[in-house]
Amino acid sequence: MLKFEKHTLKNGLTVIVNYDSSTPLVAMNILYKVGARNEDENKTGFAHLFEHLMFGGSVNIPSYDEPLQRAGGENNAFTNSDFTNYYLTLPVQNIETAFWLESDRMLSLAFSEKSLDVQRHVVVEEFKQRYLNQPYGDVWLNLRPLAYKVHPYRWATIGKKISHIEQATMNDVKDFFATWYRPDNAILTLSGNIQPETAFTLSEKWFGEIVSRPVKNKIIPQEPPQTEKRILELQRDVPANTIYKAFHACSRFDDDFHATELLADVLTGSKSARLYYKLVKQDKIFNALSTYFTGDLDKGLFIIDGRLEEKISFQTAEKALDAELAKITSELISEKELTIVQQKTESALVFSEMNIANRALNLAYFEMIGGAELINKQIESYRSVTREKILSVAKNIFRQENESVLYYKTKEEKK
Amino acid sequence: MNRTTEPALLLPDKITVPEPEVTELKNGVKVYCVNAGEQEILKLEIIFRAGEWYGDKIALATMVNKLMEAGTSAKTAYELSQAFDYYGAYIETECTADVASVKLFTLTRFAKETFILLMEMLTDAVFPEEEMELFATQNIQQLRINRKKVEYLARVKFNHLLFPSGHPYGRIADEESYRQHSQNDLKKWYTETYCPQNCLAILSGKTDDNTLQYLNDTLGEWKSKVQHQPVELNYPSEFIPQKSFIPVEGAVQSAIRIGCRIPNKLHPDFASLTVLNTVLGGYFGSRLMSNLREDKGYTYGIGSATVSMVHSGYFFVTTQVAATVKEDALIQIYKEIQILREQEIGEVELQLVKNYMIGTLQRSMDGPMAISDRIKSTLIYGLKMNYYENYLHVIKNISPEQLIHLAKTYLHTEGMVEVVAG
Repeated sequence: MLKFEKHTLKNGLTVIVNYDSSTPLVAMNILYKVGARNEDENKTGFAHLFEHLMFGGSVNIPSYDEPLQRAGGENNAFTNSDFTNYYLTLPVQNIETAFWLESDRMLSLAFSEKSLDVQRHVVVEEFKQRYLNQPYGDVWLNLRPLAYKVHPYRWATIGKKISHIEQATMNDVKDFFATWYRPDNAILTLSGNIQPETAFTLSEKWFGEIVSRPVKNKIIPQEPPQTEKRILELQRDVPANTIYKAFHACSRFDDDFHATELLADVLTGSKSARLYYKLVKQDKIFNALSTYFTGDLDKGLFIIDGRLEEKISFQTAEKALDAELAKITSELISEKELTIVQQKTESALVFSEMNIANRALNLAYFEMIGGAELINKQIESYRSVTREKILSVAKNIFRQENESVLYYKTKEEKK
Repeated sequence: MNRTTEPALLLPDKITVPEPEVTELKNGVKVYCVNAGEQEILKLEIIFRAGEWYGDKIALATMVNKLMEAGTSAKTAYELSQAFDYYGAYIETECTADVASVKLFTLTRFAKETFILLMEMLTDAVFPEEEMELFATQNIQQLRINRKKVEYLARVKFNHLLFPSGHPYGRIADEESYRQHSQNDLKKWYTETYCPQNCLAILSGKTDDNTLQYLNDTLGEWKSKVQHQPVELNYPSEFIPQKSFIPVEGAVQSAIRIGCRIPNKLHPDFASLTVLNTVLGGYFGSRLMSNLREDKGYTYGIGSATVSMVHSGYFFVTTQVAATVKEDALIQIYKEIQILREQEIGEVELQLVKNYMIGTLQRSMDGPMAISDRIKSTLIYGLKMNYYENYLHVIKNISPEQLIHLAKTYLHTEGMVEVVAG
């Protein structure tokens, strides 16, 4: 049970505090409800590039990092399809520095040309390092547009292509800031050795005067149901053939969400999970196999990712995989399988509450999806999933017409 | 409100370094306990002197460590995994060059049941041949994938040049490494090194009245049949400074690794070297990051580190840069090292680094499981937790003159191993 208090400022900024007197530190997390799904299709990768620019100085403070480090703090940020998240931890006696820095960059940025120019290069290098210069690095750049034809999830957070990043202009940056970086579009959370009243007073002091800007809501086009199986073949300089299957699944807000997560664990959550055991250990079809659910705010994907054993053909591998999927869509899983995935999920949740930075992030995330109090209902939600529910979710997901398959082939492979 | 002035700062004079409670179990195994935290969870880590250092067979130590999960005389790998899963518990095995360990993460209420399972793994592993074969094929495929990564190629070559002649810190496993050991080799290593005389345990999290009793009833009952005889071989303490280039066709980025050997944690200079390293490349605002990323945009990231191992230590710089700028990137890295040797660091920068490092030290001890990691990284050197009090003292008091002296003593631009891949 995570205890917290919540307060909303007049400008719409939500502030949530979890007090923990056992630590000399405090974690601050600011989540902005904007991600790659809010981007223009001709300017992809922008939410993430913008995250880099948030460190290029704000209206009154030339450097974000220097004062924070001087205060003994450390920080980072990440962007995904749905939101952008900034977090820091520092000794609690210097918490005012965190409020000063974070409020100033919500107030306005410095919009420095040098920073934009450098960060374009940095992000291009990030693109190369993570997506181009890695074996299997471009899988998501190809799998997303195969599975999504309409929804912005069809491009990766890094962007569709390097040229989109290279072409970003200062006007784009200013527009993006004005549209999305508003107090009422943000959630501020703190966890650590700070009393809620103190945190609320400091929030009023530093964030209270930031004026909310008009909301320009853009409707995100939703993906229509897929009607036939899609296939893509790629040939790359990699050592092992790999198959990726992507199925459309539910959104974070759907009743099926918790069952879908448990389904992924039932299949490959541990070495005794059925799909892993059967296809990796027993039949030696795959050398590595995992399944996961993206769990995005809009309808996400259920992914099966399997690296083939050396002498196994794609045809054999897919047939074996489909036979297992046929089982999970026609028979109930065992009581024991359900108990195991529920128990593992529960302990993973308890472990994740140990760290103050995690707690601050989780509170912000749950506030975004409907209310921080949901954080304490998770275990119950997973516990109430039945075997019948998992069967019905599996039936709904694992349909041929709902599937996109990527055959990622080695250079030597000829078909 | 004044938004242009930095709020006043306060930094702690003292840091509370938690002292673990030490208990000796019935069989003499020492347990270091950190009873703290709000969540009803536990981590039990059992650490053995069973790293690669203690043998001359590549990958044997790792295979034994990883394959302990592959079944006992009573349970198959599947049944063992399912037994832990049933309690929502997790096992993590880790094998470094110096020590090997087995970690159990569990809800406190299942301590008794999971300790019993853990002991089954530690005392009765059977290393089935088909599990050894699966381990080999999985690791060989992973090795082939790694060889397509410039960062991996640079890293293993660098380690090999820094720790040559079969040194356990520089050995590189190849495809044969995973198939050259017999089941008997594994069993022999397992019996001789995984025994109560060769281990210590760290228990962290929220214990209850019974937890230690459960531990005494399981780990405390362990009696080994063999007398443990640690084997230690001698390896050269020297390396030859040199440059090595690994061409990689079609690479759009080059991985760079540059470094040299330095003393380890047992030497009084190690803590000071960590301060010097932080200035150069140990944090986001470091000189290397400011120059190569924030000024020139050559890279997504660059960093440097000081690494301490039980029998040696080393310093290294690592980055991946656009292939087109690798020559200038090398020039800039050496330039920054040279500046450390020639120019006194300014007061403002040094104070920032000190404050940042004090904050980092506090973060590294936040929560019972973080503390358990700190205990581990002193115990394996025979050090105590007051190491961190001394470390804090060094950070607070180091002077610009001392930093120059350290750079001149340990960081010679012409005395480095340099590897570029791609």
